[in-house]
Amino acid sequence: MKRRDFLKNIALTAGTISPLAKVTGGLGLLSTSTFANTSFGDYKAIVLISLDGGNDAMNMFPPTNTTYSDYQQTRGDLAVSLTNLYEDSHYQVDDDNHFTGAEGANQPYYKVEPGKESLESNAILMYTKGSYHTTTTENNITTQTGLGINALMPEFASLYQKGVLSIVSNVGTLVEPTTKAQIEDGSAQLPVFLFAHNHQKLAVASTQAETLAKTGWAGRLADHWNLNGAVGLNISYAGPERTLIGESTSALAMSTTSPAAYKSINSGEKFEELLNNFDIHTTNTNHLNRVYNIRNRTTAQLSSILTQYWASAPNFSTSTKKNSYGKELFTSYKDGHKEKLGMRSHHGLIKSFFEQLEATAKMIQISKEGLEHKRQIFYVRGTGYDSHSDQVERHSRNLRTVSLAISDFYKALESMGLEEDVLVISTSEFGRTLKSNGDGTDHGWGGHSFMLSGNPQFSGGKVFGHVMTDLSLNGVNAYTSRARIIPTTAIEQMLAPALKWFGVPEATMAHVLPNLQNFKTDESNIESAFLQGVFNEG
Amino acid sequence: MHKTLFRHIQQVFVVISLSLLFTACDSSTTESQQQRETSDTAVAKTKNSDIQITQSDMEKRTQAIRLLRQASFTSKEADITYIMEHGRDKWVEEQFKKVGDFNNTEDDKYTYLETMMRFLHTANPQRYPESIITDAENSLEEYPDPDRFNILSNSIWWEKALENEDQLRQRVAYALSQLLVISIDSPAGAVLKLRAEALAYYYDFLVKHAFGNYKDLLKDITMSPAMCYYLTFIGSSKENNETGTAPDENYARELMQLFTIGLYELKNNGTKKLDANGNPIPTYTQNDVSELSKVFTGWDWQSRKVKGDKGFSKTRYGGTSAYAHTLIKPIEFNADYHDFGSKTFLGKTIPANLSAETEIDKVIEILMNNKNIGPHVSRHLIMRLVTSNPTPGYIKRVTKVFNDNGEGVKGDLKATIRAILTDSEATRDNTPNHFGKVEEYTVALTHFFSTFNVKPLPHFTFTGKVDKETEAIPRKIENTYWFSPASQFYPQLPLTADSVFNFYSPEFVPSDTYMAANNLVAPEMEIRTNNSLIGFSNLFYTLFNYEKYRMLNLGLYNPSKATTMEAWTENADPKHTGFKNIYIDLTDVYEYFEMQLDQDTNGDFANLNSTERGKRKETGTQGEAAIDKLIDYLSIRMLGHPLPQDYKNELQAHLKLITGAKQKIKAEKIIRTAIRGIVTSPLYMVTK
Repeated sequence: MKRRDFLKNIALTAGTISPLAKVTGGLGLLSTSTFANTSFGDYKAIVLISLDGGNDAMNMFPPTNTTYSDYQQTRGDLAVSLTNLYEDSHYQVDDDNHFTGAEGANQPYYKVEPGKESLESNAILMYTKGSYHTTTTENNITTQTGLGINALMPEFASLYQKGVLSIVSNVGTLVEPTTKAQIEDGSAQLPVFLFAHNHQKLAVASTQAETLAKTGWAGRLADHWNLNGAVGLNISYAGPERTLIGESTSALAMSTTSPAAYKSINSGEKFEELLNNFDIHTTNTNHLNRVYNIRNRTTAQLSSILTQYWASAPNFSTSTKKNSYGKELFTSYKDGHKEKLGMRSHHGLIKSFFEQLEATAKMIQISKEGLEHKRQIFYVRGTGYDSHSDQVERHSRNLRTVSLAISDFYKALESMGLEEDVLVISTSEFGRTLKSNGDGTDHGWGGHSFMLSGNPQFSGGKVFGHVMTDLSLNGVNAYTSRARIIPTTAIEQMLAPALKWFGVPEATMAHVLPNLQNFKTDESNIESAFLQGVFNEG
Repeated sequence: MHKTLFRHIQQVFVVISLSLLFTACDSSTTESQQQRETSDTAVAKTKNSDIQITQSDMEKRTQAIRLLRQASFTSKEADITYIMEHGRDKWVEEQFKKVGDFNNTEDDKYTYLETMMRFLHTANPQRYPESIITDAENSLEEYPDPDRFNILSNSIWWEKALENEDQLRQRVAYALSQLLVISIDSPAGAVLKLRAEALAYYYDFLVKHAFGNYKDLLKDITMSPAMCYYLTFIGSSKENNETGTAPDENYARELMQLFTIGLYELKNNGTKKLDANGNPIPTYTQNDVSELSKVFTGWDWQSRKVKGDKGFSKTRYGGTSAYAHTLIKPIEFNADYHDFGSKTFLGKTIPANLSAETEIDKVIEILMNNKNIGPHVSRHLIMRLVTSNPTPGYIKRVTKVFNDNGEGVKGDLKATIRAILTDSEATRDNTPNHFGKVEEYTVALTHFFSTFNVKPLPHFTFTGKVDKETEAIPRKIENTYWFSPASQFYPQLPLTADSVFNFYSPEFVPSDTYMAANNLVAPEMEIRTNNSLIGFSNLFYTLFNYEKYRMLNLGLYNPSKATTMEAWTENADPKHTGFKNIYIDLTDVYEYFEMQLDQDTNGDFANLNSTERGKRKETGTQGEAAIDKLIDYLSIRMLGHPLPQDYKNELQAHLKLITGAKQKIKAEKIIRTAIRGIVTSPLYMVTK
């Protein structure tokens, strides 16, 4: 095919060409690639939610078991109360996530006294008011799990009850199973640069905490799978992200608004064609030139395709599904809603988080129906979790943002009938110190995550992993003088069952999650390393 | 010079008339604009003289442009000529001698903070009385005002980047702003966006110490209200066992990890030292961070001492309300909250009961004496100015100078910069073949602007408010830059990084098997996402709408048929809320192009189109020949040399697609697309 005709043909066969996001190296390795062409019959997507800066998971899902008094003492003013909000009719939302409190449908979960909207005490009051004490039921016996869901997250509490959301207890970056004794006697191999943002982000992205490999696990999966489809396996709404970068593949970083298009002079001239035609091989003796040219070219090609398909994206503002305030999905951050949120007026919800999830929902629909993709991984970034100071205000709005936006996202999937095809997984580079620094918390280690899916095989309404029974400052779970919690589940253990569901075979799993084998409890069975109970058999 | 490149063009006739290349100044230029253009370097204004450029001059020109791309925000013809004549080293030395904004308090050069105060007063004298110019510390009202950040980022920064003579100093300050990162996008909150005088005060230290000692820079940024807030040691308290609180560790960690010694022990050549097992050796432990965090306790912003109408007095310790403090004085010490005990970090002990500021001096001394600071800072500066993948030898040579400037002084930035820019590796001519760096968006833009004679519009209207409630007070601001491109078009406006880790990671390896296999980084590629590439490309579409020849001579975007920029501006009445109040000037490009077509400059662009029946909207033979010349002219002007033949072929083929019956309108489309094609290509976007 002449290069000049390439764009024209792409538009016609967008669903079946080889992945444009797969960029070859200077040696033209694509032709000698030994990677298998993997194909799937059904559509599945994983949506990664990165809570950037180190989420204080200890307050998102506060302890409700015997560890509470230690937690309360160490946390001081920042400790969430032990009150169980599932028992308070004012704070309930129904199965469809609408408020059902005594004050009537669509009422805010927390009523701000008129004229006191901006008082700091209101925010503190709500942030530490209590939690929804989660339970699990097996063989008709209901037991407390030991973790609650913060009062600012009633939608999460509802999704948990509905059986689509689960909590992963105390997950984090690990090289191998690690105990405090092993750390103290120097026998544990620890992730490098624990407690440093950028390195722990790389540890989560690479799932190679001991070396911080240059590639991310999803990027390696994309390298390994030679999937059909125009946009490749990995899509980021958070800009460039290491998780999605492989040796030979890069993610598509998209904007949350309509795909960017090149402005052009007139119909006879399309600027992207020039970028497509600049030759990537002959005169580019400089490798930076070559890399830049390839980037220009793939961008030009993708721009054409995405602009075309975005036109058919669903519009959630007309959906019959509404948010817990009875309003349109993905709109809670807008002005006019804030006063109902019980937060200081100038600290609203985080718009970009809603926008990324709305765009993800649209792109899932386009990818499945229009572009006929079969597998995709989306990366969504929540910002502002690094709560060294002003934690009450900042973490409040983050918790409220996550609860509302994830709930909206799930409803959007339901409205499209895609909730069974999608799995949401949250990560954060670390949890935070159990000990407060006065008005915030510092960089910690382990923390709780959440997973969500409407797939019947997914075990919703559960707490996976080990719920801690010791949170004392010098206890077995606490490392360093400020009680940084030693993770009991590794990131890769949490990812493994998700990837199995996604269709990653055992042989590929070792390539994607190289350290997973370190967590085997049965030498002959890699699945013994998996976080247990995430998916039902069958 | 690029040998392969010139092999391509040897068949091409490379002696090109540059008769119009050096005619940046035009008759309508105002007196003050002429003052701006005056430089003590030799200015070549040889209007209509027919300069022939030989291959040897092209090589010199390419090298001159390379130096300016490395060490300046602008590539003005005067500087290019000067470097071609006197060489790289001489230009660098002349730059060291330039009078900076700090050197003389009596002259008309103003610091960022001073410029901001003057702008505020001019824009809104009711809210900002004249006293803020002479006594900003005590007179600047502390009511939050996002216009202050807009003024800093949309006007002052551009004006200094595009017009200051101390280009090297400005460029180094910008490089330092990406090492000692602060940002309006702070995890601590929005105060820096609302009180951007704190950012101006901070940026001034980067400018002031750009040729000074790194030690003094570390001290000033540590004591600055912006850093104290951005890395959250404001209000940090000594350990309290009753409340269970401990000091904030944020600054302690980043001061070591990012600003001084980095994570791993380095040799002087920048490579990692390895232990007996072949593993890199961490420079510090969590315990070092905890110990160091005790130093940064007891500090907060100076409270507003003057009681105004609002009746502010001393606020609670660590308060960060945007209203009650001064952010343009050093931070304030509060003994009650400080840990006066001894601290041991990096194997050194700071004894108990020192004065708090002495402790900070001791910390900086310990960090400056650390072996890692030399290679850490040297590598950063080389990567920001010259090349993403310096050889170990290059880093070692620069580190040697950082460690000892020849007079036994460590941390001399002027000597370090000189070592970077005059090293043989800075002129490596594509050897090895990954030499150079992907250009930073902002730097690519300032060079583009300077090449095409950017100027502020004669005036624009500022519509700031006296306070939150009152109506806007429109004021005309004369001859001042205003340009707000970043959020729309690209993500790298100064002082807006996402985090303290800057816009991109210095270790970023793009997805590419060759780069990965050879462990080659290209940090600036990290933000070359699909969106930003398209956005930046579109900026180079939009900017051509605000071009002088197009408006005045072609009558496009000129409803009042103005014939001068003053008249055009008067009619258009641009506001500061708009995207831009600047324009570029391609008059000489148009005139060159038309000369190639019909040997005159009367603006009809005759002979561009074919005369063949049925093809009169298409470019004819003479048109194609002129386009060929135009591409050479533009590329020599922008790059120093013609495009490689295959790029040129593609660009020519693409420009042929542009059709239209009106030849002068079509000429405009051809010129803007040709420039956009060159700018967007790696030939412009990779500095090497």
